[in-house]
Amino acid sequence: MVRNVLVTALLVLAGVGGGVWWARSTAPPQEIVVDVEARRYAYEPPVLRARQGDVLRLRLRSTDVVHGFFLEGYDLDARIVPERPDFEVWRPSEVQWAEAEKRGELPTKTESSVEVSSLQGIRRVREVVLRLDRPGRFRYRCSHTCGFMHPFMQGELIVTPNYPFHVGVGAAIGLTLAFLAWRPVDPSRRRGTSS
Amino acid sequence: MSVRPDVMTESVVDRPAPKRPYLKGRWMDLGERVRPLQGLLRWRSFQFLAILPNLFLFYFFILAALWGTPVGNRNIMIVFVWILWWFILITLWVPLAGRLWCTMCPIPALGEWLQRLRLVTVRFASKAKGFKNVLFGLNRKWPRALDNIWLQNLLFLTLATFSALLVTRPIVSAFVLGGMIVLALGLALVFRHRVFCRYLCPVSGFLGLYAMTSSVALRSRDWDVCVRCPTKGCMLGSENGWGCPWMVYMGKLDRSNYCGLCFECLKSCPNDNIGLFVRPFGVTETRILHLDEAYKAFIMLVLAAVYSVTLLGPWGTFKDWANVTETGDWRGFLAYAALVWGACLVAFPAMYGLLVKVSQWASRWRGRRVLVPASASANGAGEPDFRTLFLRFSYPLVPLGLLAWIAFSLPLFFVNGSYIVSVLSDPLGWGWDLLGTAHVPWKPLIPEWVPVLQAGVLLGGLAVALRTGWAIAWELWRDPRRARWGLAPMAGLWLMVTVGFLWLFTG
Repeated sequence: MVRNVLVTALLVLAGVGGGVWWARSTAPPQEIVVDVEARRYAYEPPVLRARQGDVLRLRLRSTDVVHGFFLEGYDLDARIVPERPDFEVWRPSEVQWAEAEKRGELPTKTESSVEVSSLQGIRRVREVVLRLDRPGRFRYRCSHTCGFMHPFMQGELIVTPNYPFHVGVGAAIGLTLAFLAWRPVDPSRRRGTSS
Repeated sequence: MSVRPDVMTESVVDRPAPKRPYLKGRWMDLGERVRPLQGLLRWRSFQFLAILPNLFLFYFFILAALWGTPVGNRNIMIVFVWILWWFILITLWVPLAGRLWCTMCPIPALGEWLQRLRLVTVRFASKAKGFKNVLFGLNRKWPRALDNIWLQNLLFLTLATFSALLVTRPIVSAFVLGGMIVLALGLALVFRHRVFCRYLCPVSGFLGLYAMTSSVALRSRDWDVCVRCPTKGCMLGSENGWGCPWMVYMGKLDRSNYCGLCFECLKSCPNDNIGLFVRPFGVTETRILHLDEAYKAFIMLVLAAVYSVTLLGPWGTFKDWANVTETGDWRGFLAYAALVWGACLVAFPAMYGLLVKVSQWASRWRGRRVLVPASASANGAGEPDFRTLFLRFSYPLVPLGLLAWIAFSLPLFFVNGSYIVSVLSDPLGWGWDLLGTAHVPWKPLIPEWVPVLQAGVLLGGLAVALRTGWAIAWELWRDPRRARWGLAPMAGLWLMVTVGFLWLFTG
């Protein structure tokens, strides 16, 4: 039994280590410009891939109705009106767009771009700039009810190294190999069996 | 007071050990340890009182679906049933308590009450042959040819094909759930006992499969007592309880699939021989006996992947295909339906069967190179045939599938949970603000941590699948080398499934 536990622990640890090694990246940072088009009930492109340290310039458009763009991990939210080249963006996401509209506090001037790290409150922009300092997988979701399938409208921003995936796969492989190396336990030495 | 030696001898030394063939590993008789719980479960009003609030809520949800807003995330039917109820069911009730939902489910209640013509008490006829309870209705027996869960499998697949409509349109949910009540009521008047739950309810089908993993199980404390019992009250009924509505005989029950946890047997048993046992999750009840049960495991696993792609994935094409009433893309919907049914009933079972065959070849090939140990021959372990391997190795897909469903359900709750708070104040989406929470903004809860939690849950599922798979391989071959070679192709499949889900949720 002790041998089995030790083998399992060692192989899972080896798998985790392999996953970390697999996930690492040494490529230099780059700037990526993406036009994201929102439509019922998907974003185009559905998946954005980048590396930690990259700069992402996002331009948001809608082709049908008003959509939102809530980006996990960066606490960013946006409101995209159809057929407009600019959009409203705010941070933190708790800021209430509807309340601001009631109070007449929505911005009237459109800026060419805004950097997320310096963003406070609601701004109207043509482009939002994200420095991707956090690795992992972040979903962007529609935050304005846009129809029946609204809760399932989402896209993905994958910033490598994406440890949960690579480490998860490494651990799964280690776990599988460990069980294949298991030896049967003598039933007479097993404890805690009730009858 | 002196101790009588003869009594001591009889009660302590000569008393045979209780026959409990289902006990493997650590089990605890919860009823013996916690006597008030045993008392509560024996209380005749227990199930009625468990059902009643759910019944009121259920009818309120149906009314809300019919008269409230058609926007799903603003209607209590969608938010409470498909976000809150589903999350609690799959992450807590099923792994911890198996079919506990069946104890309190309001769907068959009206039919059962009408069949019994009682809400709480028992109708008993001591002179009646066979069943001792008097039931209203035609009292027909369910056809033998349908004594399986194929109908449940097909009904569940049908509902799953329309799931994008079911979980986003309150009106569709109302008609489906309302239809289930009507069907259960009609069947209760024609057939005896809960045939709707046992053979037709799509939810019951997967609850039964995943109840095999649960940490709680109702069992006879000693099978020999059941064999000697002259009344068989658990099966035929008594003045204290109805005969098992699920048509289960406790004296042979060693799997939880078809025990609906109604606790009638606790009340009707004249020998106090029924106990509620606590056991480890996922590893004690590992026998899939029939092809319909194996297919249920395939269907559930494939559907977890299908839902993850359609509902949680970023790909709009699949959503457009599934959301057919809005997009009108019937050709796409047919392609989607063909993909779902083909994957569940043909592609995955075929791939699984092929790997079972490889497993059989691998163990035989290894068997030629090693001498079968004497212990193996003594244990009667021969060469398992394809059918045995096919059924036995389908069990590890049960914990693997359940944990995949839990991983799927985590973002449903953590991302959309804030709708629960707002809908509480405005259940019909009519602009009310009953509790002052109607305008709580939508805000996902710990969204960055959800993929990490999902990865952990999936790895847990793989660990339980491998642990049970290893035990099954050992039981089948009784030789470590042959068991290892036989297990390897199946372990490869479970690994592949886990990596697939890891990619869907975190990759």
